[in-house]
Amino acid sequence: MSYIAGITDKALKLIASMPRVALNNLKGLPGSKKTFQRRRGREKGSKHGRGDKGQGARMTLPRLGFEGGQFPFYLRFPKERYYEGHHMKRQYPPLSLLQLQRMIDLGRVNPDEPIDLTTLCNTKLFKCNPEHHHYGVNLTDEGIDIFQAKVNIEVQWTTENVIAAIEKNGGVITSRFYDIQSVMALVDPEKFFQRGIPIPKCKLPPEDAIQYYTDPHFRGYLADPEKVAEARLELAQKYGYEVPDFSKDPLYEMLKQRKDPRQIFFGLAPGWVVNLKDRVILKPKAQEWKEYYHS
Amino acid sequence: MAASMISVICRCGRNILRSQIKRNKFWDERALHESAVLRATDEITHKEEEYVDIEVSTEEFKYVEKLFPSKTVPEPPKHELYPTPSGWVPPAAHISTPYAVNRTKNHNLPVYLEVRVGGTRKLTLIRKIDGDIWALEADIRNFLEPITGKKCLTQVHEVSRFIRVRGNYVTEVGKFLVDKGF
Repeated sequence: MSYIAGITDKALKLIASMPRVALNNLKGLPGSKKTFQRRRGREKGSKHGRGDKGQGARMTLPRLGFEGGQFPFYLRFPKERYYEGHHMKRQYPPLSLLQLQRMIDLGRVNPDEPIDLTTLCNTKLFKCNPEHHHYGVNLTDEGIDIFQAKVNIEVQWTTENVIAAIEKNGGVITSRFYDIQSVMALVDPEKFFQRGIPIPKCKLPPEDAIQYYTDPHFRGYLADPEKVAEARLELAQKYGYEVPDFSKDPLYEMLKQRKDPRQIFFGLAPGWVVNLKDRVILKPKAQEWKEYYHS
Repeated sequence: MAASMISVICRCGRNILRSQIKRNKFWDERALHESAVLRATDEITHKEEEYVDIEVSTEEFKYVEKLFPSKTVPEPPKHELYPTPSGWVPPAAHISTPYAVNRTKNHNLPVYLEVRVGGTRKLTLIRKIDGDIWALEADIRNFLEPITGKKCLTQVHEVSRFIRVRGNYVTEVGKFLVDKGF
């Protein structure tokens, strides 16, 4: 045993005396880096490996997609109308009910507080990148049969059966639109507050999304609350469950929390500036500013 | 010819004039001083206009703190019944096998599906293995062969501590590992 210990000591001493592996002394394996050299000499260098004469030798090859004067493929066939502006369309990355239930089971999401896009992004299990035109979360119906949590959740896109699954457990769901500036603030609030700019006023949805966000069947945030209550009853009858009474619920205060249509963070109004260093909030007092940020 | 000569002369003349104007401006110290003073007073008045009347508040900062993510992955809360609604089971306290499969940082099993060659080749990858890797490989083979009715083809990597199984058996292998207490 002592013999082995002696060897390890020697090995450790040797390693200690050796130079440390660092960026300045790292080197690729021999033969791993291949550089092209123009061939030279009488045997291989007469044409420098570029063949005999013509466009290849003179680097005058025609441009990509050119078919030698023929009407090229990429121009021959007309565009499809439904692809128009596809690179600008709003995207909603999906999150399934199964994933949401797993987040709640593992303590990544607290169901005793309202869930919004920030809560989901803060788990680091759901990703939303506004640079890729991601406008928020699409709650999908995978795991609809096992979903048991009672939540107050705010989503950007969803379907009827998902709404039924959440309301069956006594939860609340709202479809809410955020413009891209607001999504940028929501996905990483810490980074946004470090910029030192006022919390933005959320814009209203664009023309093609107004119908969805004013629809009580999708629990749109711009829909009439009375019509939403009617739609809740209607859906319960369709899927065969009873709508629980909110006012007797112990979590009533949490379940009734909603954001203002112009508000993007709970408890913080648009126009306020957050100072992270001094841990204070600066609120503008001028009438003009108040009028601008008022919903 | 004559026309072109005239244009050249004109151009030269204009350049000379321009440079003289520049030089004059640069060397006229009085003008320079005056402009600097003007600029300074301008800045002061401008700054005073920029400030807006504000109210400083610390009351709502608790809402800001709620928006920050936790720096570490939290420990899963204790449930009354396992498996939980989403099918999660905690690892057993004691195991009796000569090998172990550790959970990931998100408390899930390190079993993954690899899809290659345009979706035609599917492989099941089991990572984070400790102890006797060959015993685990034998156990997985003996578990899968009766279920699938096929010969189980595996790859064992002793250095990187992983096992690959040919075919998509993620759910089967996951169930096997959960039953073993990992």
